[in-house]
Amino acid sequence: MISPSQLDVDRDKGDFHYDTDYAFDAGIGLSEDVVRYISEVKKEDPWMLDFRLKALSTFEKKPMPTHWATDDLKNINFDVIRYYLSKGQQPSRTWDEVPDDIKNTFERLGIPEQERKFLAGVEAQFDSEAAYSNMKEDLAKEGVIFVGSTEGLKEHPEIFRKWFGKVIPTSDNKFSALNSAVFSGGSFIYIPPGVKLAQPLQAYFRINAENFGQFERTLIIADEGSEVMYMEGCTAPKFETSTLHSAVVELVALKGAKIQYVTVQNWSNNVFNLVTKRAIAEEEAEVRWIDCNIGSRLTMKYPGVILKGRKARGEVVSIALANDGQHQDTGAKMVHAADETTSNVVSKSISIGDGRSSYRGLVQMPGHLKGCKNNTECDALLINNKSQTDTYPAITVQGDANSVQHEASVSKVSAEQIFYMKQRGLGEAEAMSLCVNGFVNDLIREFPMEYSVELKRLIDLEMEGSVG
Amino acid sequence: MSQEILTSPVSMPPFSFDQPQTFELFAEGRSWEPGWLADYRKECWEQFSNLPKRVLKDERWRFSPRARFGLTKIDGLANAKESLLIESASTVDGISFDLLDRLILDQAHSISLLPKISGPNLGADDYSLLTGAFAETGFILRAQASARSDDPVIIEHREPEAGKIAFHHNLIELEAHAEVTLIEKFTAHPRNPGGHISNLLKVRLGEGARLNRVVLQECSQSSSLVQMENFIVGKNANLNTVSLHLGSGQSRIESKGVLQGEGANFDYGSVYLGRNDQLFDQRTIQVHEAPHCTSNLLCKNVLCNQSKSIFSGLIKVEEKAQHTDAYQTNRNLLLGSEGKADSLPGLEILANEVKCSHGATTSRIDPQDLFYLQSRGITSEKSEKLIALGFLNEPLMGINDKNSREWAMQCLESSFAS
Repeated sequence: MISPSQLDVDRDKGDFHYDTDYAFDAGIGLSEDVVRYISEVKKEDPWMLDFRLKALSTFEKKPMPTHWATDDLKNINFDVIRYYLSKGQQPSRTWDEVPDDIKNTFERLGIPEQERKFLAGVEAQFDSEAAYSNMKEDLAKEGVIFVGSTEGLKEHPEIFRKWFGKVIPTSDNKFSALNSAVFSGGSFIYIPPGVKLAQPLQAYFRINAENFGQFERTLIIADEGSEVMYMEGCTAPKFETSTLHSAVVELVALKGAKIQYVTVQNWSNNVFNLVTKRAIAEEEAEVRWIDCNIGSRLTMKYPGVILKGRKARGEVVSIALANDGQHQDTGAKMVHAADETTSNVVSKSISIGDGRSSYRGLVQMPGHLKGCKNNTECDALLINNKSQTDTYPAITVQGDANSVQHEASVSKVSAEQIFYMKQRGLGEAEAMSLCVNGFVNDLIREFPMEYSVELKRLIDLEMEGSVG
Repeated sequence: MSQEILTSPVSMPPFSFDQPQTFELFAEGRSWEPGWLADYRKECWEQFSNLPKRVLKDERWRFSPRARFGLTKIDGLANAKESLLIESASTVDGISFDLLDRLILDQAHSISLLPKISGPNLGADDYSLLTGAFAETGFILRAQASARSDDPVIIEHREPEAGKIAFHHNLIELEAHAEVTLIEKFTAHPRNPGGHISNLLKVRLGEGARLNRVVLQECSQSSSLVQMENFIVGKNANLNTVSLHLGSGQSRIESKGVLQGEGANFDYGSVYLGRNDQLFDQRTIQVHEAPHCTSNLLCKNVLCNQSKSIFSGLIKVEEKAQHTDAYQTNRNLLLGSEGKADSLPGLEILANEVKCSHGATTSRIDPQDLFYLQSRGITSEKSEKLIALGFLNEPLMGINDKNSREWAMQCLESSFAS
């Protein structure tokens, strides 16, 4: 088990905190009252309250998954977490409506200038509720819905209710049950048939209160033949005690649709990041999870695709970087449920200092299917002699008409490479950074341009002081 | 009704490992044994009795239909004299190859290592402890420093009759620079098949020692086999073990290789040919404790009909085991639409100066390969057999001893003929 000894890792962004006046605060700890309170504040229909209460009892019944997962989970104290707080504001339509102190926080993150220039719509999540939401008019005209989950539930119940909780049932795991009970925030996106968005949709998430867990719930539905890329990025200020982040993300790609979901996770080193992400891909649909985990104390995240329709395709591209006191437990799940479905998983991890990165995979191909293929590659790079890496795939194949291949390798940066670069005048740290960037370069190219620039910088930062 | 009970003859309660009398009766019959052995048996029995009765989710049994290894199917202990036989002993000075039951009285010191080495502990705790408690026999292979034999020693494990269980507790101890080749055969019961074998093997290789081991398992399709192996490999020692599993209805194979001394080498190969509804549940772990060690594991399975295989392997490299070279490969070939292969290849790496990789593949025969053979006049059935045979031959190529290698290949080939 890894102890979060060093919380003062040098990080030049997200390291600030503004006092926020929380208009709605459900108090500390989890109980039926808290769940009722959240539902009431959100003015939800009775079915949603029932759903939340059932989820709460499921959460209480489920044991911690420590029979396979790390014992660090036992350090989560559910009684000291705030499960809901909100500014009480409606998601804003224009930048001018966003309160000043929130604007300040985003200003520090450098979001507005960048995103307004490059991106189609921005929905920035500040604590539980969407603080800012702006969509270009032409998107709205095409019938694209891009709102917060609460708003989505209120204004588009006919679409929302049809898919909500269908991809990830409440009882999927302990943390999906927790999310189902107390969720707030997150995005709801609907892309009408045939609409292909040229530019990505983007939401920024922030945690801004001590002991406050974020439980966002995202639901994306891409109707027949549509295409969308969604980007989610996280930065969080430092806190003294542990916080919990437990999101549920459901994607539905209907016939021929394409969804790409991009995440850059950079929570501070005391956050438990326990996320359930899953997609359903119908006939000829394609879902890609592009995932990068740099921050958090413990991340457990295994994006999955259920390949439900013929010729559906699923892909997970993942980069994990575990520094001192961090455990990146990531992976992928590919459930083949139709003929000629294909899936691809490429995972690269880097462990620095006493950091630990794990890959957990699951591939299933039942016997009645034909022509299914899976390819999995996991590569791990170990920087220091205290670093750790693990690989735990689980592959089930039945019948003689499918094929699977899995490969994993572990290596370190070779002394010759470092020597070569030092000889040409680079410092050791610089040389190491270059090697690490080279190791993940082919995956970083999968990210949108702004992200890949940011990622390279983040990796450089993490590598500082790791050598020598 | 009440009359029926009155008139029924007085009989012993049915045999069960749930009842304390089972062990008490057994221990009473062996009161002549040395005290330390009796204590060891009792300790194993107590630990077994204290095992949690029902663990809902045990990762070590993931994917396994564990009920197929249930102890309730067993109705008695097998006759130890019949279940283990030496087929070929050693004539070389310094190498002794004998049976546990013959050594207990006169040469108890030669088996004193048995309680000191643990089993592989990869899940079958119940079988491992019961073997410690009830084993009346087992083979003991010991070689003094620099003793060397060119001819293999051969042991035969015989499947007991239906319902009975044979517990074998075996030990191999090679001192520095000794070299031995061992062949282990598992054979079916000729008349009344359906027995159970629980086989626990503990191996310790001293500095520079070399063990070549070949296992051929041809138990009946109605039998059960639980095989537990713990190999401790010392400095610069070399262990080469290849198993060929053709029989048994369900087999659970647990193998642990511990690279304890610098420069140790561990080569492990296994071949499994599954037919009908055979189950092959294999768990392996390669533990690198010392630097500069190499280990290589290759497991190949062919699955026909409704047969099922589970491969769960782990390479564990400890912090001080720098300059490790470790590989783990699992390849499954599915013939027919009902076979099933589960694969759990794992890595846990704590040292950074290592070369480690694992690979797992599951697929059918490439239709192009079949077409190629068919276009040359070979029937599709025969082509399939040829390709599967070629596929399974690879781990057998790793057998060090030439004669054993050829023999194993012949055994595999003739099993395909049937």
